[in-house]
Amino acid sequence: MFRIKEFVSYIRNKLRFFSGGETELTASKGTQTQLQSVKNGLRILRLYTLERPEWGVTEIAASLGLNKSTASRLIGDLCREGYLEKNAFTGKYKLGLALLGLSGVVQSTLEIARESMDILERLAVTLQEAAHISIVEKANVTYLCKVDCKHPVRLMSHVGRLNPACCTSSGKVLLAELEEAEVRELYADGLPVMGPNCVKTIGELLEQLRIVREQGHAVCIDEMHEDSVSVGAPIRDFTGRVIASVSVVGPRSRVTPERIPEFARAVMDAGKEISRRLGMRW
Amino acid sequence: MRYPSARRENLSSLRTALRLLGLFTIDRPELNISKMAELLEVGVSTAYRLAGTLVEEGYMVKDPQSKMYRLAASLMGMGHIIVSRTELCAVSAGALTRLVERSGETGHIAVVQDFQVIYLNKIDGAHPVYLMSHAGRKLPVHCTSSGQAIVAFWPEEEIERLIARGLTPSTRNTITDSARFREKLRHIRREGYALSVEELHEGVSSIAAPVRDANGEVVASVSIAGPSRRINRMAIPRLARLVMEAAAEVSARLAEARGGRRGR
Repeated sequence: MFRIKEFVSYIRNKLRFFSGGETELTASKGTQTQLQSVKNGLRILRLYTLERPEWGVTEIAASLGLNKSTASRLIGDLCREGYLEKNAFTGKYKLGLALLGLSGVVQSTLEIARESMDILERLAVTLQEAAHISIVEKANVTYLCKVDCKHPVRLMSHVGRLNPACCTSSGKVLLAELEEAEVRELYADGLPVMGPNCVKTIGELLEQLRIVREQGHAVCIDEMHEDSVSVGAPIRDFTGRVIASVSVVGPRSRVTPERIPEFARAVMDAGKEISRRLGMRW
Repeated sequence: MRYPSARRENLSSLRTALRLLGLFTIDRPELNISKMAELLEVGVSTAYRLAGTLVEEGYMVKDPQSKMYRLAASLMGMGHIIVSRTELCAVSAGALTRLVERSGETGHIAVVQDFQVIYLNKIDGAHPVYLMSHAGRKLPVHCTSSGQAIVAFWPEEEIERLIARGLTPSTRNTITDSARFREKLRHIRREGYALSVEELHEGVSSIAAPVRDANGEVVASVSIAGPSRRINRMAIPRLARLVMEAAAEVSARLAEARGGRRGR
């Protein structure tokens, strides 16, 4: 099985070589193999989730289509650099403290998160739903900070969680700022299939983004998953560039169609207030 | 902090890439390719290829205008997994929050790994000062109260290994003399807490107390840090008591949690 995968990836690299990608032309075959092992190593770390914080060698090898000896070698490298740690009792591996250091660096250098916490708290209290600040990296939105609502039924989200940008209101607000060509390039391989109502075609997405720009906010109903409504608005820095978004998420029973205008107003106001703190002049 | 040369050590590409990530710090959150190459002591083309792969895999982002790289925000998700699945963080959160409320200063819980202190969690106080600390931050053990509070309970030969590595000064107050350092550790064992008056940063003092596991072994420390004008001679006895109480509470919770369960 792994042999077929390796063969496919070898052919793919060859094709990329002939298609004349800049780095491929300068990189030797040995470099390609080395970079592949860097990628595989980084992908091992991405397997980890809250629900699954420990992985064994065989599980890692199977999930990434690597053979066991390759997986062991990469795990060894990750352990030596402190990115994985072996749990002596289970024999499995968990994320190492080196990663905690990286996440700490990110968190403490994020000005937006610090500047907007109280506004976010107020928004969550006013609307009684969870509020987030998010940014986009490639085609994914990441929550920078989150304020939970008091309702016992909450949607699953946490700081650092990645969601596809095109089916969240926070993501659409950020995608709306891109040029059409950039959006097309992001989704060159198609759109991710998420909730029952998610966007199916690039044309549809571009049209929605146009409306988002016009209205100054985005609304997503059942796009991420069933029974979730989110309303998002942009946060701009002092140059007027959209750098993040603020959004509120709740179930359909609470975020009803009649209440959406009220949600949109509150979220847009919060976005403007945070932007003002970041130096934006309207 | 200077990294050993990736080339001289003949490291694999993966390990070099991981060290590249480790170059980013709170005081150096952005880097360009030539700086990465210089710090890692690798060629510019190697740094360029590794950086490209790290961007592709979502670990770094590149600012198209400034050509500077920074760590991707999604790494916070990984930090979140570590914190939520780390027993010490889970059992210490309550005690640490109360300590911060009572003392008004910034609280940390820390462990020692490879002769360095690593903060597992940080909670800002009512009057936060810019301490340049964050969860995951590594600092030398010998000049931090959180490190000393752990090291003081190490076996003698481990303490000697630490001393043999050299007690590098950070400020005028850092203890660099081995006899004085041993004396300080004895003092910590006697008093039950460690006090650092500007041993790491000018103007910043901190107080730490050891956390013990179910077997009575010191595994971590609880500490508070703040400006020396607030953590002063008058305030220290009260603050030290609060820190020791918090550490005792964490130790007790840790022993409870270990009732059959194992892990970090």
